Amino acid sequence: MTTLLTTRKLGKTYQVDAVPVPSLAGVDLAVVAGELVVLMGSSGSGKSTLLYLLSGLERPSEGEIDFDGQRIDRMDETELSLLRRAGIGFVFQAINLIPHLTLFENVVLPGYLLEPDRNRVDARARELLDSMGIGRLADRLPAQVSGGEQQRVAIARALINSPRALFADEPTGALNSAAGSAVLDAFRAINARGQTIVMATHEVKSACIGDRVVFLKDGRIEGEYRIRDSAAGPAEREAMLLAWLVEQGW
Amino acid sequence: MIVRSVLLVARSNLRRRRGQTLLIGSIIGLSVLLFFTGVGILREIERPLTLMFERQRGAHFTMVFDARIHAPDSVLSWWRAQPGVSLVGEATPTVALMERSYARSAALSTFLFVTERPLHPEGGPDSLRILEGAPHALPAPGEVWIPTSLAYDAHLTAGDTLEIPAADGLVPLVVGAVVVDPVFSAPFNNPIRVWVAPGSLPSYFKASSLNRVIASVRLATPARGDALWAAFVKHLGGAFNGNVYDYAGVRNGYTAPYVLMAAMIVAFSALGFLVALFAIQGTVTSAMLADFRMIGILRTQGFTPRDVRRVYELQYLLLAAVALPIGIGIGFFAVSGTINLLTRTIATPVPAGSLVGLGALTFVLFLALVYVFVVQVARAAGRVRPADAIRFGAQSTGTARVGISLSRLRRFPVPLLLGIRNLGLQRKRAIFLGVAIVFAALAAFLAVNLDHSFEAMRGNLASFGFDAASVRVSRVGRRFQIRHEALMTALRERPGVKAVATWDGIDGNVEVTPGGPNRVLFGTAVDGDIDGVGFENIRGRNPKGPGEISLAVRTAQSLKQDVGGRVTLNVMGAPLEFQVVGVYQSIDNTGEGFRIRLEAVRIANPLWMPVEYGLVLADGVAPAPFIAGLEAEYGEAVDAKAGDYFVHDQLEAVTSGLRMANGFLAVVFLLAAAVFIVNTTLLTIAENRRIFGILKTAGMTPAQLRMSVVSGVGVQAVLGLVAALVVWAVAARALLSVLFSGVGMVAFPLQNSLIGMAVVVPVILLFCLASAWVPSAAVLDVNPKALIVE
Repeated sequence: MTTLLTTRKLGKTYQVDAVPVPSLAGVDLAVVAGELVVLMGSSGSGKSTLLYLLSGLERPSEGEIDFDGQRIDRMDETELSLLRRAGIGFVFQAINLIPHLTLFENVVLPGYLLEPDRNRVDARARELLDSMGIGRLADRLPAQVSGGEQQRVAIARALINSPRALFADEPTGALNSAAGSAVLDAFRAINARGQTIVMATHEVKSACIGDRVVFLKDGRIEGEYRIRDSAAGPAEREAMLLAWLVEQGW
Repeated sequence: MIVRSVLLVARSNLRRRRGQTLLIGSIIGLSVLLFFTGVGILREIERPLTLMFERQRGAHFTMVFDARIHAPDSVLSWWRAQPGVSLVGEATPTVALMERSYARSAALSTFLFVTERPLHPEGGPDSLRILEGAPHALPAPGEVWIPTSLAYDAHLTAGDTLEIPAADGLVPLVVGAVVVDPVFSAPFNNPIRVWVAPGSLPSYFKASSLNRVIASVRLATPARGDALWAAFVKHLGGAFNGNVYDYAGVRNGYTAPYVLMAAMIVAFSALGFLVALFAIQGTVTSAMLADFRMIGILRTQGFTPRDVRRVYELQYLLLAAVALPIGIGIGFFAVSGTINLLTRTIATPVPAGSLVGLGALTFVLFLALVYVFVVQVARAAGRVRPADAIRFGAQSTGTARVGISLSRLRRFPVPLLLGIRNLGLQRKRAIFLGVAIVFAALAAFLAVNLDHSFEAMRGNLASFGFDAASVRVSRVGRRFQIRHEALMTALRERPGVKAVATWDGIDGNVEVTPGGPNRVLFGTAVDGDIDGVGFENIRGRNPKGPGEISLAVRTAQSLKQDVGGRVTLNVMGAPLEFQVVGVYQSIDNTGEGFRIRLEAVRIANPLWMPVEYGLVLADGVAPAPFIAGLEAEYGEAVDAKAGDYFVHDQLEAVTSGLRMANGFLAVVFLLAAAVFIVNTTLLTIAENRRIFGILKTAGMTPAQLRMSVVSGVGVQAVLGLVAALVVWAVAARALLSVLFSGVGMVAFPLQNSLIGMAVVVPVILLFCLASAWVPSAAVLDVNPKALIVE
């Protein structure tokens, strides 16, 4: 079991009109390769901030982040860009596909940044879209497909460069329950193939696809809960997680 | 109450986005400045002239004639009796000098009418305004009053000496005053009038040369000028033998040199206006897109759609109300400064009040346009649904396929691929930017190649209507003279001479229509190997016999003549019949004139002799030692100079003025393109923050992000430059010929500078790229957090 991602005393303080507003403090976290870690917490708990820091979208105010042996916190903007390009995928709640590109074009674009052989990128994109069950929609524009289908395109886009870690921020937050389930199935499937995933969510059902839940409160880790240690069925898992979350003050 | 709330939000928006406010304000101010300057110059260019003519009672007809042919009293009486004539001046003695005058030891390129000042000029036409010198009522004996055009051209001031060729050689006269003479102060006029003391001409010239008089007539109704002149010619029995300067010709003399510049300014202001309108619309749109969440919040607080629209209307009207007066104010100084520079010889500033109306009209027009644009764009703000706006901001819901598909561009690097694709997404903006680049490139090409063409003029004067002589010799030296035939033979036989021709100025009176009004043309009598010294025709050939004539192109047009036609020219009182054998173009005398053979002139006056000679030297013979040898042999009997000397003397002012104007316009066009590129780049980034956030998250480096913005501009710049090169190659010669036709060049001898173009094209490309690169730094501020909805 290889540790892919490690943080030590990680903290982030925003400056709002020159007033320091702490968002995250003293976070120590380790993510093992192939793991699906879920970040939970109430609004303002710092889970999204932690996700930005881990994925190199935001710079920490203090502490260290080690990603696959590289210190993210010491990287300049270009190094971070190259890391995001080759090593990290990101899925947003608001999906954020480029509206004037087709679904296929949205997926291949990050691939073109990394891979000189564009035929290989195209083939990989078709394979990913097929695996998400939306290969037939490849030539449509985002506005011509459903929200769930758009989010699956976003996952395919995040996977095009075979990242070492996939980060997802409330990936089902803007979807109805059926579309949300399809997206969760997709996450489960790719995690089963060994993809490391770190996902922030406030939905108990979504959290239950993870290996463990990290609960944040007021910018600090309050506790961890290992879901897969439980041998219970899906409904019981949800109930047990909910009970743990309530116990943590959710 | 709601108005106060709307005002509060509008002012807060302006303060909140100081950078954008400054950008839009500067675009509005710049566009109104350009528009006001262009229209102002076109509208006001004639006003100082009109004003000067009014104040100084300028003459609508200035007649120079031989008192032995037309009795001055009879002529003046006829004019005084005509209705519509307000002032008739005295017929004052004048001598038309056919030899060169000197100032500061240099021969003047301008010939002079030396005229006695009337004893009682008060209340008559053509009152003089003294700019320099003692304010006497009349020139003192030994003094000469000169017009501003001569003073500026020859760098003469009061107290300097002007030497005129008189009966006993050169007579030095002290410049007593520099004056604005309404008819003769236009730059580049030739000949011009200088004034001497009443009764002083007989002390300088032989009695036999004192037969000419000059008389001026001012009309109460200038529109009746043509009819009155026709009646006058009829009264004389069908012909007026003399020179006449009418108001149209005088006005042309003041304004013709600036025809090209005026046309460029019109084109420039039109483009500037379009650019400004589009920039305002685009900027307002982007500001609103960025404000979508705020709009949603306002709607939840009770703002109606109309109130939201009013926020934007008021916001940009406030901004325009500040920016427009600043732009118009600067434009006022630009207009008056430019016109005063163009009309400095008449020393009549643009009256301040004349621009107030135009300024007010421009203010109202631009304010209305800004309002109309903002109202159109702000409609979208009124349609914002509060819940969606607060949650998602401004999201695209477009389902139309736009731009080139990525599969077609997949071989390009990603930044370039995105840049090209964005062009297709924002076609209107891309077209405007492309047009701005095309205009900037064309202005730069014009500046470079026109400058090169005028430089080439020194080596190829023939293409501009002059001779191509490498050495010019004036037979009438400062002290002594040599006979024409003797000098001609000597020059022909001189070693190193390839061709010799002679020509000299002569005027002729021609009927505009058979039996109709006459007009005086200034032409040239030619002799010798005129083909050899490079006199060219655009149609036909040079005259070979006494019955042949070639006409300058504008003269041919006005007389409705062409090769094969016939004209009657009254030369020195003798009506001579000519067949038109050629039509030539010439920048000299704004494309008016004729060329006849010396033999034709001698039919009218067997003693007439030319004084100017042009020599083409054999290959390998340098002009300077040749001139030195000639002067060593003939001493002061001849004046010899390099063939292009008069380009320095006479045309340098015109060409340097055009160079300055074109250079200025090229710089302004480039700056306008730069402003447009900067604005477009900032707009593109502001409107696509979400997309740039996605690209940043996907791993595009800062340099790649900037390149994706810059490459689009680069592609447009390349396309714009290619388009400009094609337009230049196809249309430049024709366009310049049209523009220069007003000054006699109907087939402009454009000489493209390959080196100049090789420098200008990459410079423009780099300039465009730099103009996009600097503001593209704004893309680095895009934070992917903007993609995340809490």
